[in-house]
Amino acid sequence: MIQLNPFAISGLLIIITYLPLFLLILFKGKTRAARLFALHIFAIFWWGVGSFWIGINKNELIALSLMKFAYIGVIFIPVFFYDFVLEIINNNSKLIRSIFYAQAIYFLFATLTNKIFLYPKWIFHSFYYTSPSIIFFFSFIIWLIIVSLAHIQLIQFYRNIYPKKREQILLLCIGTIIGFVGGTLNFFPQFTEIIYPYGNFLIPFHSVILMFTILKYQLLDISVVIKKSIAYSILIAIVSISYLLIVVLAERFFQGIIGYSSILVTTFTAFLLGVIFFPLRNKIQYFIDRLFFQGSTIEIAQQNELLRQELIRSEKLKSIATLASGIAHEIKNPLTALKTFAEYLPRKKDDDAFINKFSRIVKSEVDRIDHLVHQLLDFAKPAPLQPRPVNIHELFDDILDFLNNEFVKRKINIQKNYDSNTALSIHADPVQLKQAFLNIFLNAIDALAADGKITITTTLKEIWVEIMIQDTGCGISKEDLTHIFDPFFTKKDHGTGLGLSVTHGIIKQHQGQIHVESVVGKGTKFTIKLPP
Amino acid sequence: MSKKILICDDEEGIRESLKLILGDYYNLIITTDGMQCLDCLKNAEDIGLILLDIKMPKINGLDILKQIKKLCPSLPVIIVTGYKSVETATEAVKLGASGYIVKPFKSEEILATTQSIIK
Repeated sequence: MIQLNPFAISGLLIIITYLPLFLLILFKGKTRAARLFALHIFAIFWWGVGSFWIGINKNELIALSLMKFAYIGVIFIPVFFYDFVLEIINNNSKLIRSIFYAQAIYFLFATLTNKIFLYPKWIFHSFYYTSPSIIFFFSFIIWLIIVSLAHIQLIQFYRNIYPKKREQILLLCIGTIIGFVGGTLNFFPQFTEIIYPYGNFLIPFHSVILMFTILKYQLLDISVVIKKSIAYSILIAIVSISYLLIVVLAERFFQGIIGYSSILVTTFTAFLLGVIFFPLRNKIQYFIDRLFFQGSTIEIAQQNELLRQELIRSEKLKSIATLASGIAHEIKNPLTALKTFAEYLPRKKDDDAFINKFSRIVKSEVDRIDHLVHQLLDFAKPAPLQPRPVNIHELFDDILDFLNNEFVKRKINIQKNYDSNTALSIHADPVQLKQAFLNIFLNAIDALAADGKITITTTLKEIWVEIMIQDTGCGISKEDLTHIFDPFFTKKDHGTGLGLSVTHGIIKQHQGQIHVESVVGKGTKFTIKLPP
Repeated sequence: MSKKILICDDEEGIRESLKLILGDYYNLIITTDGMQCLDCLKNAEDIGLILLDIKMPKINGLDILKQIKKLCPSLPVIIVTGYKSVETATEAVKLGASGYIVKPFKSEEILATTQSIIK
């Protein structure tokens, strides 16, 4: 029967952890750097096989051969790593590469011709290691030099790269330093029996860190899609197996102490573990979510909602820019009047007719500026839905005033076919409705060529106030028409694709309906029905 | 006082401002939209200058300008507007406008422009 000492167990752990890592990089890595790294990982795996074999071997006759076999891996571990580092830092020096490969081939030859390991020796009452020659000492020194040089260059590279690559290189560096420190400790038993090669246990940490860096940060440009369900299943399987093991071990432990197996102790252990199992499972799921999936499903939904609100705000800011330019123009008229009347006041302060006109005009023009500024402020400030009676015609006049600048600039004619009931009113939030209609107008303006026309028709139907906004623009294809209210659907170069989706949301929020018809080359008609 | 100035603007504040500036020097005819303006032009005599706004209900100022130029090709028309865009100004000049004054204007600017036309 095979007896597993710590050295053999560490070798086995290296085999278990490096084989999947090697296969992953081999099959998923496409670059030369990835291929070199795969060779480096394979060399470590080779050492893992060798060290496991050395650990379990009790036959003195094959001990020397086993060490020679294992050392082949050791020789190439730093060489492939250094070549990989040169590759990622874009150093094309063939000379450096040739020197390092040449020394590796020399030490390989020396190993195979028995110039490095002289004879086997039984160490720590546990397994056969070997007694080395002076060439082994040089080989060790060169091994350390290559490892150190590779890390120095890697750290220099780390300082000059962008953040995402930085995380990859930092983790890679931490992993390799741990691995090489562990590997270095394996050399010492060749010289002295003071230190047991426990360092071999550090090596698998290197592979775990690398695996994590690949999965999380796409090291070597390897991207692996981890399915949430698979990640959960694996972890829950591990927890479940640990759970069973703890129950079995607890049973054995108590059997050892009290001499017989107690169903009570087993049941109690099982119960205790059962109580902590679910919270533990939740914690593990939370940990996995945070590590690989940027948060739990609820957190991702919350982040998406915040993102959506942010986009709606940015869409609103875009409309505010249009409105502000409209307001800047609208304010010019009252400003002109105020300026002229103020200029003539000192000259005509005793003219009663002038003073009467002054009071009337100045007041009405100041009120107008105040109204315009309030309109923009109302529109800009975020507020919950505040429905109140709104005169739909006044609402449209306000929007059209805002947009007048655009209409004049693009020579767009506006035709208002308002319902004969001038006080046509609905119960709605005026600010939200302005946003909804504004988005339709902005789309119409974009669709219209010069001398285009927008017609606004309002009609009081039995249960609806029906509003039609019709343009003579380029129209929308049937295919696009089905997506017109989808968020992020846009055909404009600088559009967010949220305008009409926001409009749709607002109309629905008001228990209304919105419908669109369009003919390419002829124009588009939006029909909105709102409850009065 | 010889020739009259025809003012066409839908904004009371602007009409009153122009009256304040020009009233002491010229006979003024005040209209509030394009149709009125064209009617006055057909009926009144001795009109030496028109001050015309662009943004007005029913008919846009530039369309009125086209019709004025059809009726009286040599009659000077000054556009008084808040639109400071090169495109609108170019369009107005192409249609035959003699000048372009941007709101908010200065009284001296209005007086100097009108005086240069009606001497």
